[in-house]
Amino acid sequence: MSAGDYIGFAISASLFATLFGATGVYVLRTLTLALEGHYEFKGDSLTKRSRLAGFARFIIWAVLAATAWSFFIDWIVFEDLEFAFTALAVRLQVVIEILSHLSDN
Amino acid sequence: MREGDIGAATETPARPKEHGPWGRRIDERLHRKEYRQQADEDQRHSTRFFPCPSCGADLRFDPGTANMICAHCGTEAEVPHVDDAVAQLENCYHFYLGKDTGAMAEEEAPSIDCNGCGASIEFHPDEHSRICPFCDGAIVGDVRMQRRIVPQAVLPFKLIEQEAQEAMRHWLKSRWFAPNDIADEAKADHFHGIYVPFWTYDAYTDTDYTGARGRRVGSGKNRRTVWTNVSGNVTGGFDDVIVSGSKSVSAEFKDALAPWPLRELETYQTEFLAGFRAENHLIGLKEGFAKAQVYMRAVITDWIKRDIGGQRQRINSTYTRFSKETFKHILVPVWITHYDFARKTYRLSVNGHTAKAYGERPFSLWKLIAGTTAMMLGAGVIGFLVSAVPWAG
Repeated sequence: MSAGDYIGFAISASLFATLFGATGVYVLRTLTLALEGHYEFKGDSLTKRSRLAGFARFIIWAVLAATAWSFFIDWIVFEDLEFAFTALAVRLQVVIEILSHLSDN
Repeated sequence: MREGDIGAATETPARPKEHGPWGRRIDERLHRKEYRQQADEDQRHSTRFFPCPSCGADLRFDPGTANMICAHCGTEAEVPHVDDAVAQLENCYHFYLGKDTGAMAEEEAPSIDCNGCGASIEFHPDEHSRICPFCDGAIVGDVRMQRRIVPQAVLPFKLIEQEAQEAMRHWLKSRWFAPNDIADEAKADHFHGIYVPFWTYDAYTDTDYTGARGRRVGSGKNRRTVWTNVSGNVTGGFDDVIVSGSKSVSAEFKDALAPWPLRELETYQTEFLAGFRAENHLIGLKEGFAKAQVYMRAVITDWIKRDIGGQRQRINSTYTRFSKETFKHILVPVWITHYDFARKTYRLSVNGHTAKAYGERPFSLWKLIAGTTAMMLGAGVIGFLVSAVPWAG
């Protein structure tokens, strides 16, 4: 990898960390409220149903974060951006499959 | 008022006989005095003040017991037992809806409307400090008599204020990602014991629907869903769907403070309310049923999806017939407070019967950042495992 590649990697990795870090705080907050709601809200109610959406947000965040990590790991280890993108495309297809299955359920 | 007479209906004293001009004047004076005393007593009763038979101070309902107690001299007086059947009586929704609540018994209570949150809360005209228990704002305005529907049942307070404080502390301690010192540092000024009006609805539903059942076929890029049109009918009943009659106690707080042990409802008696405030209902019978129907329709959607079956479901149209709709109008006990933490005010409520607490809470930003970092690292481990590196040999 050239120096320019390393700079590009550093910038995109920083953007990734900032984006997922900021959304992660929000996701963790909603996950906490969902977990507390799961134990606290006795019986079925509309509020409980809306709270439990926090679980779905967390799963979506975790799947996307893991996929993004895998891209950066491929890029830095194999030092090949094209290969990393190809592997990411394959993985994203799997992710879309998983998310569509989850939305069915 | 004698002991044992508490809450009993009183009659206007009979007009005394007239005995000549002097006697008549004295009798009239006596009569006026007696009549005024009686009227005062009736007024106190209607505004739910029960004088202690020993010292004359106000009796208040003693939570957890069936008694009223004098805070001044400790004298106890039993709340007269009334037939409990009325508490569980289901009223025909359409009968009362047609009469537009005119058929329901009404009473007057000295109340004041909060300009901040809109709550209509009971206040005695003599009270100088008027702080809204719901939004903690100062209320400016005159106390006036407001008419309201008499609830048929009341769930009496079981918790005293100290127990509510303990429930609050325990709730705050058990919060995840909350600041460490929240349970010790959170300062609640005062707990307000309030009876909040609720509606409970029963209904039987019969729903026709049309939709589609989805089946996934193929794999990879060729994976698709094949839809088959379906139609059907689902039926089911709802028992005691609870809707808050207050605009100040939101659906969130109402759901969080559940369960409300409706089997323990007592027939409405003003004695249960002595020493506590009661909020006037702002959500009417019809509006309340509309809110109950929102929940019922969400459950009916689940029933339909289950009835359609398959891997995916689509609902195109539904038509629900409601029948056998009945309701109850009740009062439930809630301890309401506000606590201050880090220069912010948070609202908290405690179920006055079961000690279940719920409220707004702060998050510790540092704990959230630490938690997010851990989540990122966890995602990194999964990312490594699914990357090409472990499979590259």
